[in-house]
Amino acid sequence: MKKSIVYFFTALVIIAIVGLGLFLFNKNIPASGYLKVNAELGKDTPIISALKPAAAVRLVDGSQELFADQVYFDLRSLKWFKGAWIEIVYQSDGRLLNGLGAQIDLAPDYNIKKPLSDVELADGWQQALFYFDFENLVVEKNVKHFVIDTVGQPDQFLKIKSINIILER
Amino acid sequence: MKKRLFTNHPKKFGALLAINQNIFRIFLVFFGLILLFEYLMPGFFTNWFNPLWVLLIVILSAIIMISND
Repeated sequence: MKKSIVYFFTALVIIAIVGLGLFLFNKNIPASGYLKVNAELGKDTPIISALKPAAAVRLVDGSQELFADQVYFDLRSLKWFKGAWIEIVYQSDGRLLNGLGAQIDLAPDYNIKKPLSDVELADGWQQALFYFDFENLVVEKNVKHFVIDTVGQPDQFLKIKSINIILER
Repeated sequence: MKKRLFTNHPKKFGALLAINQNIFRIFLVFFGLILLFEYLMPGFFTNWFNPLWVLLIVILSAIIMISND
């Protein structure tokens, strides 16, 4: 009787761990070939970091205000993801979005790209879409570095509502 | 007869202690696997959950195991 209880609970633990393993495999190697991740603005998450430097950004009502010309964030994705679609929903308050860049050299050097599409949404928000190929980027422990490039005076800011990334296998 | 503090438990705890010992072994191996995967593919586990929870389970079960030895 006692032995069967021990076996039952041991089996339960093993099944739970195997289940967790399968869940992680499905998350990391999605069958569809795409994985969507959303940045939590103002928070460091394991996949997408918070915007840096902290002195150049401010969190107001869930959106992030950018004061500096260049604001950075990191993305940690696994090796088999070859590229990423990055969507930024923003609103300009004097400061203009110039583009988004990914680090291509340790120098550091960023290849700043203009958005592939820049669509106007409701309430003055705009949606900019970028695509980055990971092939020539600087990658340290699966971490890629990105920069949001803006133009404006120090008192002008750019408001960011969301940063969504779709990783492509 | 050897007598220690905390070891004066009824016999029915025997099954729980055996389960605890198995939990310790399984989670220790699991933690080792996490370390290996993270070395080869950074982010495979840590992108989705904090492996310190697994280590915490290992430490707690080790404490229970040692204190009932």
